[in-house]
Amino acid sequence: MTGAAKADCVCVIDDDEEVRGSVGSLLRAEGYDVRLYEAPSGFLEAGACDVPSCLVLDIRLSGESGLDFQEILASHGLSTPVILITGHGDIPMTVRGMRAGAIDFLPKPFEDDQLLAAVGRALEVDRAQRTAAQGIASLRAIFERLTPREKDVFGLVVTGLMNKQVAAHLGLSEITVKIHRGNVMKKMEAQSLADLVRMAELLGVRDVTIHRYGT
Amino acid sequence: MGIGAGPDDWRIAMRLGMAMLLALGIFALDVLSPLQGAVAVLYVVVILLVAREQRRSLVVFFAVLCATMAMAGYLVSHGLDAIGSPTMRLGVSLVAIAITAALSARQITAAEARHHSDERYRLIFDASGFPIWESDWSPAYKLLRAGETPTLELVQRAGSAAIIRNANQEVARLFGYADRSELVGANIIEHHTISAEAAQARIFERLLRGDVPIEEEMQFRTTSGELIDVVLRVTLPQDHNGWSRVLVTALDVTQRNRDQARLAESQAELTHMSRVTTLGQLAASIAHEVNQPLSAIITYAKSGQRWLKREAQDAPETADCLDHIVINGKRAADVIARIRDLARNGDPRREAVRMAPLIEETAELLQRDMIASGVRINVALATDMPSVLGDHVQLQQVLLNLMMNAQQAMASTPTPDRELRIDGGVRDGVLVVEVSDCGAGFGDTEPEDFFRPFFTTKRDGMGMGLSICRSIIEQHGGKLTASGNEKGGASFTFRLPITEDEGRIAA
Repeated sequence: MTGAAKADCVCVIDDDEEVRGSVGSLLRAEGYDVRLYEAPSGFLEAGACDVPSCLVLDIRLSGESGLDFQEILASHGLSTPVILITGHGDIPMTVRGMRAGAIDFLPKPFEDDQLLAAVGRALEVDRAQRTAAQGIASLRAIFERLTPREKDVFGLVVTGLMNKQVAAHLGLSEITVKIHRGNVMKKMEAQSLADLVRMAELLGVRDVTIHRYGT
Repeated sequence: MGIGAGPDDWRIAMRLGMAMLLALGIFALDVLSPLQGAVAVLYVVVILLVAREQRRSLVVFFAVLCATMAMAGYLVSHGLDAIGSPTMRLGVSLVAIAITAALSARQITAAEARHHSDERYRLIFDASGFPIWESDWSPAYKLLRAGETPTLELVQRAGSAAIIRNANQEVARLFGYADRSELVGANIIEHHTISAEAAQARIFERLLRGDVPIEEEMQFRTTSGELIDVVLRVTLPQDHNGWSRVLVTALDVTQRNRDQARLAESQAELTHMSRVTTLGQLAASIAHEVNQPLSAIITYAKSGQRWLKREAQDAPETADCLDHIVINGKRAADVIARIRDLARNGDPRREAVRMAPLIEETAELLQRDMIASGVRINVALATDMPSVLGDHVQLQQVLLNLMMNAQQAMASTPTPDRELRIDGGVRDGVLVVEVSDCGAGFGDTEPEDFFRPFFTTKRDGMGMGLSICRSIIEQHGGKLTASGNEKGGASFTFRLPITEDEGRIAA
């Protein structure tokens, strides 16, 4: 790994200056953009990176437990993947950490390869998350360009209603519904109804009040 | 004078017989001779003769006898005629007899009293149950009187010139002789050890100054070669006449010293055990303290390798890694040195201990543990925190114990309120350190009870911690007390004397 071209960002939070520094040096040697923080507050203040990033977190930070912080991150909607490091590794903590979605759990002192592998995996996860997020974002942009009526038809079609039922529901003729449906398929670049259903799930636009077999 | 002393009785009887014969002779002279003098006055000689027997009853008996004989002689010679000069002579004789008898009786009474007191003295001497001997140190006095400070050689010579005049059986037992007679006329210099020589010199010195009684602890070697510790008390009677009578009493403190040494030993052992137990409780924290620098060392080393393997080697980064490896190596070594000190099992030291760094270092050692249990440590020390004389490991043990107790006392306190305060400063010329918690306090228990051995409120407690803390503080000449505080928790306060050469240490 030369890594010189990488601009991926790794944030390290550890209250021990020397441990923090050593992890920083190791990651910099691998060409990562490294940001060191003594406490979680510093990380939260700095805000998320705009490139694929991950977080190396000491589980026993002075003042607050790293595990608590991991939950705070999740509750803030921050999806940065977390690698836990600790000098006090034990099973309950590991379980809790992994449940809260940690990528890996490394007891100190850890192997450099282990840490770098975990960082690599974490960054892949973040990259995938970012790609997915980007896909949804562009899908939403297209969706926002639909007419209000097309959005209505979209929401009802993906529930599995037949054109006739949709028409009855919206007080339109079946022909008009067909035309709107065709426009929606075209604009959303959906290859099939199944494709459209998948998009509706990602966008969360299915009209949940409708039941095909309901009244 | 014993009842069975036959020859004595004979001699007395003979002497009394002689007195009787003399009395009869005087009587004959008085009656038969034509001498016109106060022959009866000669009875005085009889009384003086009898008085030598030192018996009051005999004196009285012979006085009455002689008076009767004088009067009888007068009657025989002069009858009941008119009162004339012979009557005067009889009166003079009777008065002389009475006065002599009275004086003799008084002398006998005084002699008896002196004899009783001698007896009492001998009884005390023989039956006191501890060693006493009387020595003649006059040769030593003659040797030392002239000199200024006695040299060791002079002391040795003076010591060997001393002679034991009398000693009781206890002295013989003390030095391992069968009978006290072996000691009379000898001296004890052959039992001296080197330390005894020095003590002997001090005794001579103080005797010369007239600084009596003198007490000195010294070590002797008995005839069987065993070493004994003895406290000697040397007294000079008023009429010592140049140290010719020196009274020495001895107290064998060998067993006492042994017991004390054993007690100190087991106390030190207990203190050490408690310290090791404390260390055990801190094991997780200690492991972390060592693990952190080790982890940093490994990571910096790996990082350095990677900086060197890069296409463009980075010397400054590699040097930085090496620097940090050194820093962390020292850090790990420091932690281990501190722990090893705490685990050390040695004699307590007496050195100047600077309290402020000790308190801070101890707080730091517990920092991780405290954070884990949600306790904030608040250290407030005066800027002029003095040093104390003592063993820094033991004092740290006290601090550790008090702080860990405070931490545990707050286990059921709401987390935001868990505060451990350490205040330190000088009050009334002594160092005062107070460790306070915000726990539930002492409740109905007397604070003093917490210092009793085996008293504990903890489920897995041994109840020795505070008791040991108190004995450590007391060994340092201080006091450890407990009281409730205004926050409802407990405060433990210890006071320690400040070292005298404080100025030098602070500088």
